[in-house]
Amino acid sequence: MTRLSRSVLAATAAAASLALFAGCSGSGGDSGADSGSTGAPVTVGYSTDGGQNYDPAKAGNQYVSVYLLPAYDSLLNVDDSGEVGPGLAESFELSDDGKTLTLQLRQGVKFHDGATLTADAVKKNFERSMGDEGSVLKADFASVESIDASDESTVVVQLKNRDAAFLSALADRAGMMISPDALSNADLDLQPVGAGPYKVTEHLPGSSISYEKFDEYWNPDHAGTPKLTLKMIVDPEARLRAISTGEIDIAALGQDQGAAAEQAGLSVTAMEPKTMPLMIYLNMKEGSPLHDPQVRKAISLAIDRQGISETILEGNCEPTGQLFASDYWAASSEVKAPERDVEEAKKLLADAGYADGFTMSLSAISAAPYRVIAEAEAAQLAEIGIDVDLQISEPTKVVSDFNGQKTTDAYTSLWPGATDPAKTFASLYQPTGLFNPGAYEDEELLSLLDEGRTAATHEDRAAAYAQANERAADQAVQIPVCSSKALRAEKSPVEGIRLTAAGTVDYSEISIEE
Amino acid sequence: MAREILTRLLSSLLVLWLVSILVFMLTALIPGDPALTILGENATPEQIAEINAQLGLDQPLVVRYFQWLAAVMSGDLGQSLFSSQTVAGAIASRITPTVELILFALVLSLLIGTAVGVISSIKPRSFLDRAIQTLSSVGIAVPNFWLGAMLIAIFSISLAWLPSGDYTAFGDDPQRWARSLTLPVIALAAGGIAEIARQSRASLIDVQEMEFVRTLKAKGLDPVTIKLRHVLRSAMIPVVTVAGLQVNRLFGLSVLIEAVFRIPGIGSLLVSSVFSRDIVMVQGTVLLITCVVIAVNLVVDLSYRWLNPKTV
Repeated sequence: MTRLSRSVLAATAAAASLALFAGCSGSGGDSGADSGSTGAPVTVGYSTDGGQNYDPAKAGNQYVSVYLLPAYDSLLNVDDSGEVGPGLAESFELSDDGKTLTLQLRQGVKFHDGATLTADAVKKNFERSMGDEGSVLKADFASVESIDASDESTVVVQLKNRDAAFLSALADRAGMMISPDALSNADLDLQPVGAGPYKVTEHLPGSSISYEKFDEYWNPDHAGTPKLTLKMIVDPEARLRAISTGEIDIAALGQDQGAAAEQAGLSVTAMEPKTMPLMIYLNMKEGSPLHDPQVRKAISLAIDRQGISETILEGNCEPTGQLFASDYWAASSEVKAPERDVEEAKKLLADAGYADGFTMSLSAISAAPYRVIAEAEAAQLAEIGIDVDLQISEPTKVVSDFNGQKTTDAYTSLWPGATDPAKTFASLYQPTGLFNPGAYEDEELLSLLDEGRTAATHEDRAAAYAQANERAADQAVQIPVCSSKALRAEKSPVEGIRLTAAGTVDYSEISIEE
Repeated sequence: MAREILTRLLSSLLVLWLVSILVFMLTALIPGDPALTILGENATPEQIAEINAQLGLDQPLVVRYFQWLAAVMSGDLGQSLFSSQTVAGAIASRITPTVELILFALVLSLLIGTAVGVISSIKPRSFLDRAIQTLSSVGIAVPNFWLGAMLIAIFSISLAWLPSGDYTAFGDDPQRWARSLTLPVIALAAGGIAEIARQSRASLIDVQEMEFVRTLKAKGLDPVTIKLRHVLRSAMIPVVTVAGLQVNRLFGLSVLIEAVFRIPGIGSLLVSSVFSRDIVMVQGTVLLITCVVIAVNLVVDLSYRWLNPKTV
């Protein structure tokens, strides 16, 4: 190499390193200035990609709603008290016998691709959800007999029987309207086309999805950032790091990360979903010790709910004896979180014929804090003589073993929540429920659930479900541990984050101080 | 030469085929249920059965393999089990970061490795030489992901000089792109620098003790010119071989580095596909990586023969 070329190389290297470190103040993420419209762009770090399929009719994963809500508006909306209200349908009417639902659509609602919301578009959406291969919404439409677009903006749905859950379903994915022109898009699952406040501009599956405000959104009062980006950062440590270095503005945190975030100088907010309990799901099949309610009650009494909440989850989980937070509309005010009582638990076990205890397998995913929770539960059960075979593994295997192959006796995890309690009950208490792999049937419980589903008024529903919760607690059908909070960290104050009735975070109205 | 290439190509195809069988069977046999992942927690037994039928997951393994093989032969790498994303599309959208990572690591390894090798070959067995040799051993032995984590702890968390993730495309923000790649490239290149330093030191020492070098010295040529223009050129041949083989090593290691630094490349695609049991995506990605590795080996072998006519 000649002297000249060597010095050129040296000079280039020096210039390059100067350029590299010029932006060293760590401003990273929020240095992306806004394009002139009000508000700064917001980047959120979320914990899962929700399955990468963002088609409301074909995506089963509960966490997928985070990605759907900015782009898709639904026909109806449900609030925390369970009351159903208007959405894309500005009014609705249910006949006295509960079998005819009339929806009056808003005028002038536009989809992201320019199509207009009409009764015909709604009908096409429903038909797709009911009949398409791969639709996961068929169960929601089980009681639908016929759909009729009686005029341009009126949809009439005939039901075979009263179905209180159908209205809530229309406030969830079953009611999310996809543009009629986009229904047959091959890439609809990767490129949402809805009538929501944001349209998708870029999507790198498994990595990030970007939205920008939709100019022709029907609601002129909608406030929110001009540009929203959701980044999928699975590892909780990496997510915390990302917000500390300014790569993202908001981070969803695990229940055990609050203290660490505060130490890093971030402000931590705890939101309280009402339907997100930490559970010990059980395989209560015949022949297993778990088939016996006494055994299950013993297990429930052996678990140290307070200890798990305070020691492992920094207090971000309220001990509970039922699936819902006590102030949820479908919860029972009578069910209290059982106090730990080792002696009573041992006595119950002995009465049930297991004085010498027994062996059972308990699985959990290997991510924090679930692994630690499972270890704690195993130790607590050991005290009453139950020998726990701990199976910590990756999510796909754990789910497959418990829900698919049905070889594990118990599985501890967070129930992700649902818009309507009927869905949660179905999955946990119905013999065909995914989280009831032992097909356990408690007649009284099932008939109360039926009552709730076919109830004439919201109050009747709430009463039936309250009783159902009492029965489930009495028989220890599944073991709720505590009602979890949802934590988030932010550097600058954020406005407009809310939780849906399902406990999903709704980022479709957020804005950040510049 | 032509016959050689043909033989190599045929054996490469055989390797590809065997790899595809092995990977398919292994992935399919790990316990795990893509259907449950797709359907979520409210799945009903009917839905599960429907999805399994739709995706062909209820068919015997051998049948599924040959269906996949038939599609690949006609140029269709298939579609993800979980979305409409095609394997080809996924690879295309994620190949750039991986190529950038590997290319920069390779260039860095070559530049710094050779420079270090030159320095240590000036006075073999001197204190400086021994120090460099020890460091090289450390560089080869240290696990890349640990090095990556250390770099993050020091430069990202403590000093806040560089990001620990935040990969941005060059077109979006060149400065951010460069900064996001700095730490991962260093972590990936460390082992390569050490290997190339060792190799170049060894061959430089070999060459500089040869007759023609003494002749040049006797002629009065200055030592630096001898070293850099004559010795280095001859010594580079084995170094090029090592560098070529580094590409294979880098591909494997890039998976870990992509995970640590959250780079949306081929490595992280492969990892997440294995975790979700997206067997079609796994197959396509592995096929691609195998092809690249085979191609690189072929090129290195052929270039070696071309560079050094003595070996036939």
